[in-house]
Amino acid sequence: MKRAKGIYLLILAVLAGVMFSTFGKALSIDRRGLVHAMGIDVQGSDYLVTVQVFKPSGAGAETSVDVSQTNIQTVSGHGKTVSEAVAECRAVSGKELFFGHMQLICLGKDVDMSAPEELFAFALGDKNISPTAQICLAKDKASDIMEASLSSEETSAEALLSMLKVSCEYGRTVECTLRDMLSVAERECTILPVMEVIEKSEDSGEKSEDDKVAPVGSAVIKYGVPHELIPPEKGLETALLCKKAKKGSIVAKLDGKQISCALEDSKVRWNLRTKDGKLHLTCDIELTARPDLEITPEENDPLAKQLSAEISKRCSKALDERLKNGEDIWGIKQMIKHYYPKLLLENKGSTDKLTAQMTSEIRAYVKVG
Amino acid sequence: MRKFTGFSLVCILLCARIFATLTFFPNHMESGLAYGIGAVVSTILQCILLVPAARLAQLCPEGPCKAAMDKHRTLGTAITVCFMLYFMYEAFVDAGSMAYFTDYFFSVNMHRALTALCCTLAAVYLARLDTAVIGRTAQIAFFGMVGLILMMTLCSAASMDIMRLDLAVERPFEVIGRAVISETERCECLVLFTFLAGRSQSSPQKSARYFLIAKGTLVGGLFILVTAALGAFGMRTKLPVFALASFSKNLITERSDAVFLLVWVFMGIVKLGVLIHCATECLRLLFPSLDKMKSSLFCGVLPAFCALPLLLSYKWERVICSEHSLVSVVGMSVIIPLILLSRPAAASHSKAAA
Repeated sequence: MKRAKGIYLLILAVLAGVMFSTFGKALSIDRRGLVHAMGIDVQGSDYLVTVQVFKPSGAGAETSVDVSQTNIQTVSGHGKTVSEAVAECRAVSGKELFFGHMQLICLGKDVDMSAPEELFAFALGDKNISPTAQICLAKDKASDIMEASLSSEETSAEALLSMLKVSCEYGRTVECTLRDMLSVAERECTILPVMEVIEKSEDSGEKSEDDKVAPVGSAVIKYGVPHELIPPEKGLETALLCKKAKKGSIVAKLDGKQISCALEDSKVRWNLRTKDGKLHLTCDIELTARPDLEITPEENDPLAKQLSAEISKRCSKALDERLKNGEDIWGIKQMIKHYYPKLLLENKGSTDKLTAQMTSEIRAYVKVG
Repeated sequence: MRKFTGFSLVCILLCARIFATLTFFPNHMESGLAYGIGAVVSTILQCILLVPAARLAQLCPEGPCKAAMDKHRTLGTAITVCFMLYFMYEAFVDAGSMAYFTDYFFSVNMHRALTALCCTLAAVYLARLDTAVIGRTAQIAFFGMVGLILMMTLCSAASMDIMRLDLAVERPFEVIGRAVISETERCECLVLFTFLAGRSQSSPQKSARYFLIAKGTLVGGLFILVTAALGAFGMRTKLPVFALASFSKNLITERSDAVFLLVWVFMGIVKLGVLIHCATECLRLLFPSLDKMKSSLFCGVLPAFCALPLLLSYKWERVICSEHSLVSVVGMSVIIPLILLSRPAAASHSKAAA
């Protein structure tokens, strides 16, 4: 009797589960559009959003993904807000867009970045978008970057991301993630890597060549607009000070010889103290340099000293230039908040003056390995 | 009723407390460091608040409701009803929050009503088991939680920056004070301690000490971890710990939010199960003839049923964004034990002594 009761209860439970599950929002994977990258531009008073949706091009082949193709489809949408534009993209593509795989957000040069919380409200509201998504700035339009045909990786987005990551790792540009953008208060400075379509390929017959896209430097964003472009040759010192360069390269002159050194194992430590009544900023940079030419043990120390002096000089110049213009891209205000919170609160409206009056000292220690 | 170990009690209480912090942080957090300090200060104050409850648990191992019933029938009934309503209200909040956040975290294909039903039935199943079994389940959830926190710490270690911790707020002591109150309001674990501590094999004072040390460390640590890793972004996002788990990268996985969700659901079920178990005991004290299964079902299904209208009409945010009541926590965990400790023993006991 008890056993029969148990069996009836079990059948009832299964039927209830089946019945309730029909009220749900079941969506098969082929109805989902996996967004890998997104571009945001301004068109008049509206936003134009261009998304790269994964579309495998290997139909009929052994693998579903043909690595010689871009494997993406671009979809565009307009809207008063980015979220509205995304909704139009969903309607145009006919798929439920899924942003869990999105790795790159590209902003057009006309996009106002003075209120990051408002601009990225779509990301804050969507729990699927990872805070590690990379942000970059397009030299002109983000839609050009999104529509660029790149087949060096499985998808165009991966190719763009790969280019950006390597460029950031070697200090030619400075990395910026969604977390970094949303950590910036309104109207504060930030720095973004810049990408440009250098050459558009001509579509000639069956096989089209890839477009040429490259990172062209880092843009300092002040009051929400790009202020200055730091070229890749000067990016290393900025990236080092931002603690975002893991490697780099530098050329030193020793006894009339030009020696190119690969830099790695970077460690950067900032400190803020008061000195003679003023705020004094110090930065200690430790690096290991591997010269490409064979050098004698006696040449080690002079080379190390020269490299240390060169890096200190370049970093000091970069820091002084930015501080003079009131461009705090290294989180110096956050350091003041940490060490001297009362001082920052007293100077709430004039923190730029505070940073401009600061003295600084950069000390680089290079080990030749 | 079998006793459970002191460690099990600590795990049950930690599951109940940390679940709330893993879900979302208090509203209007101005400074993560201030809230971390507030959490630690609140824990130190709770050392004093728990003294009467620990003393009562030592004198009356059968629990405050049974002890009150033995002293005075009417007082005992009133106290039992208070505890039962409190546990059922917390079960209502938790069942609804689990359905609401499961719907939010996952791109679920299940109706909210079914999510609430599944969570409630799982919790009711757990609730009808013995406290010792619940304790062992809580231990597994606890180790899962510790593993999750360790993983998030290690995976986001590279991007942690101590400079993101600051006290640059207009009135820091006021902010810390608000954090202390906000933290204590969320501590229904204190009421659970008052109810369950007598059943622990180890001394209630010892259990309280270990629990408070672990709670202060974990809660304060979570605030500091989120702030150091995410900075201002952590304060802006709706669900900071979930965002931290999304941010935590390692060589195997790009994001750890799936692990977070596994641990979160587990802890939620344990917490809901404990609340229903305690409410069931109160109900059976009031109506001893009631069957354990039926009382568990009643204490579990009624709160979930009450949560459904708010869940289905998408008004659940009103419940989660509203402030919890400090009065109920202090009343249940401090005032009631003080009343019971101050009252003389029942007349039958004094006659027996004579």
